[in-house]
Amino acid sequence: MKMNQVRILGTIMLFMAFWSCSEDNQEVNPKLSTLGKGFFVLNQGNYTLANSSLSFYNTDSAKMTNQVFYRTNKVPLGDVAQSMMIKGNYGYLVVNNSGLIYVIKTFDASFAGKIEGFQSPRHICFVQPDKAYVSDLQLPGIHVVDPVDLQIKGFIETGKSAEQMLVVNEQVFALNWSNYYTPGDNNTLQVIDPIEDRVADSIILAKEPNSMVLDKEGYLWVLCSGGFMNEEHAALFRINTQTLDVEMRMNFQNITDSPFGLTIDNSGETLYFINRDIYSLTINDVSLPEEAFVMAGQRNFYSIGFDPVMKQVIVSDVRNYIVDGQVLMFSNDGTIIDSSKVGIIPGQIIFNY
Amino acid sequence: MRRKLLHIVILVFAVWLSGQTIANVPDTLNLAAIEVKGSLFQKGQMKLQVSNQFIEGFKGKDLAFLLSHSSQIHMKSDGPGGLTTASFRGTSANHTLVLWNETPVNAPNLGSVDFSTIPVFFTDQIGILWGSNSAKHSASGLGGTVSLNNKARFNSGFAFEAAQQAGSFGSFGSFLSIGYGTKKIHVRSRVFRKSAKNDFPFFNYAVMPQEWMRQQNADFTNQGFLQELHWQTGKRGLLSLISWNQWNNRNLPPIMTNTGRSGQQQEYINDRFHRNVLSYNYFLNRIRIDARIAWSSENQHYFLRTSGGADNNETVTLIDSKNQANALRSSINIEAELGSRLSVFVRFLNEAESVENNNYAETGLRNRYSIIAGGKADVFSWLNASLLLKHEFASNRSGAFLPFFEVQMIPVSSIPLYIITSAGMKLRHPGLNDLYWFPGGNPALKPELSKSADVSFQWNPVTGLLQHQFMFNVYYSQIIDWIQWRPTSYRYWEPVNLALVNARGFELGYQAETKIGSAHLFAGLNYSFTRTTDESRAAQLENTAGKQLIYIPDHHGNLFVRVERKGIFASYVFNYVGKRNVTHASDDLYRNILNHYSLHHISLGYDLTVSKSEWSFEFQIHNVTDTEYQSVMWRPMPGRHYTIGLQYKFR
Repeated sequence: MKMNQVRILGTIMLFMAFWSCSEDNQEVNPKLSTLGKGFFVLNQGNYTLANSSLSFYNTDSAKMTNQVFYRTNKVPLGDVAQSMMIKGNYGYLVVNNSGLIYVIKTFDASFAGKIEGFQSPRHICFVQPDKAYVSDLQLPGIHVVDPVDLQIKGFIETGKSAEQMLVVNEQVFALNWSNYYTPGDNNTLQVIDPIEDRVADSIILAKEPNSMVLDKEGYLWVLCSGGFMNEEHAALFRINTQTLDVEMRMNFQNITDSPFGLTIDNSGETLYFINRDIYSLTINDVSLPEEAFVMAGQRNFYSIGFDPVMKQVIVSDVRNYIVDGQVLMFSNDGTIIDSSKVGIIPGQIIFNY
Repeated sequence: MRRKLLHIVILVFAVWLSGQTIANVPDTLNLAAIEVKGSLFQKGQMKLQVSNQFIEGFKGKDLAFLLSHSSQIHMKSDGPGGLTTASFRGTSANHTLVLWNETPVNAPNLGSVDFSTIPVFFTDQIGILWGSNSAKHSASGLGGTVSLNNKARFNSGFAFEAAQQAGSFGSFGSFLSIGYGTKKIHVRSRVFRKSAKNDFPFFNYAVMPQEWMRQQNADFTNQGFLQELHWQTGKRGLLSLISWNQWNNRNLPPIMTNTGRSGQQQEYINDRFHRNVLSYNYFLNRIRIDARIAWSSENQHYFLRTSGGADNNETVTLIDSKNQANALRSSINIEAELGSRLSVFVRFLNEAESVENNNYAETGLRNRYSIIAGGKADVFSWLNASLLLKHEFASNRSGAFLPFFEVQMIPVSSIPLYIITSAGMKLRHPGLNDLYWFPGGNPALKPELSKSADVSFQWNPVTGLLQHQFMFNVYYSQIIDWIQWRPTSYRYWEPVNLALVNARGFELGYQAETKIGSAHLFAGLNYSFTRTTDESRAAQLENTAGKQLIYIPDHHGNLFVRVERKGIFASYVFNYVGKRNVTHASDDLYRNILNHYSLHHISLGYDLTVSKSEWSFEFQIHNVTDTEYQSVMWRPMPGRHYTIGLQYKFR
């Protein structure tokens, strides 16, 4: 009896040793070939959980492929993929809490390089063939990088952290969205001279300017949310990029309105933004729309883009921020055309045609 | 190749063990020679008593290591010396109540306990309680209770114990205990210090290009002292004063994806606590009175600084968060035996808690009261029943009535098999962070309510010359208004009573102890299967209903074997943790699952006893197979590493 029990114990140990030899059997998604034409969806993932991802929707096949960065490169994208910009055949993925920018080839999402050494990068903006600016949430200035050599070349002291940037008329417009980590008011639009790499001017708007677009007339439209705690009324501004004058300000009616995600169609005539629902207006309108273009219902809209080829409004729904997100495609009359599951917190839609 | 060789070594070790012991088995054994140092369960109770073999074997470790290798409790760890929390029966970290000398030590702000900061050296008894044994204590142990006790040793004379450890990655541990026990008084002091640089190498496959790195900014130092005074006041009274004081300083390393960040990031958590309990037990014929008062002060300091600017030394991020939690807990428990078949008890608990935090608008205060009454009746010689009624309420909140019922039976009098079944309700109040944190704290949160039932089969036979114990538990619990922190559209997270969580599963336990010739053999085996899912309406809408909750493994098991012969001892520890979900996203998206892992640890040592002096030398190899694994996503863990230890005891 006793001998049997000792044998059982030995057998259990043998089993344990063999068990530990077994290989992990998690299925790994197969490597991709080419992505084709369509749009990327950059999924931020949850802060500190490093579950960012990149999805791609092929408009020819009408098929969404998730985890394209991981499938090709066998590494995770990182911790909070904040934004992506395409330049030529390369995509620059700004991974905020990982403090780096990955460069990928856009045809298959394969790794082409990386720029390291940032603190909290948010957006990249190409200002010259060999110069790009990178905004940083935690630094009162903007990094100057060489997008070819993949090196940080300098730093522009602006006194404030910057967010989205846009090149217009050989000037760089930078939104000062946050003052959580840095001093200074977060209600301005700074104008940077990209030749001398210095702040040339500054325009006071409303709290938390979060997004901007350029219309076909050359006017800059800037959307301000009104602040983290709704300190001010949100507002939409139209700015003359030559004179830097604010030519129009449209205030949102309710103090709780917190609009974001301003985008524009490919003709440069129709603006779209999210204020829980999706709204649209033309560049000739002088008041904010009262009726929604698309009602959110149970959905939690988070980012928006206009497909210049398919002529569709593409909107992401983050649902509850911790499950898979969704991307929805709407025709220009607000009818839903298609939808696809994407990663966690789809935060930006980037077109690649 | 090296990995295969190591597996072969383990196989050979296993074969050697079974071969050796089989070869040495005599036809007859002297049962009286068996020294029973602990039992798997207390007969007929819903309590698992961690064997002294484990406590002695893991004395230089923390409680997280001990429990993850000797019980069904799953530990989730950020790394060596890092935050480690428990998941008990499929519940979350703040559903495991930790009692130290019958007093809760769960932080009032978070509700959870960091098991990595509790040195096994500071405990004499470790119990794992569920059913009515858990219900009669303070609130919050929805999953169960871990009970740590210090025991008086009267008449023990002078005792001295010192141990020194050194190991890989700059780890050191020093332990000292000195005590004196007379017929009336026992005094004991214990001191420890543990530190590690923790700069272990790991292969970082979370960045491009993939490369070998060393863990950064992960060093820690924990140190503390425990003072006990036990005094027998006359023939009927026992007065105890115990003070546990500890200082834990640890730096916080980046996750694997974030190793390239700039900013000279300096991030740490320093915490110190002082826990004191004064208790008085009085025994009068068939009445026992236990009165105790405990006061604790816990201070936690989280610091984050990053720098930048022209000289790269300008502070650009500074978070300097300080948290001060105080608690005064008192209880009185009166138990009485009314005749030979009935015992009753009544208990009153009060917990007054306060928390000051940078992120609170004002000091968070709370007063909780519980009154518990119950009884146990031997209905038949083979069946007894317990009933426990609890009324519990917190300041400014309506109370709750919580019944608990338990039946124990011995179905066949000649077989030492116990069947225990229980059902009842428990309540956990939100942590003060859940209520008062700014932004996001939700003062309207309701307490979580658990309804649970379980059955336990416990068999404790002495088969020939081998003493062994089996345990098989099946449980089911439903937690209503489970609190979850969720992101909001205002960019901060907010706790909400959202989930309706069902946790069910079963647990297996086995312990065996015997003596074969001059060799002493001890083995313990644990396994648990857990299924925990959210079945709330919200989960159904989000398509997450029925999905295993994050960081709760389906399967968890461990094995411990120790052989000792003529002072030479060897032990082997195996730990298995099944795959775990790490997000609520669908399974078809990569990296939503953490792979299962198996760890093997072995140790060899020699005990030498000369008169009243005992010397012990031990060499330990951890993670023998150099397994790459993660307990928390993108938190690297060390590969194979080593510890040597020398211990001296004088009794």
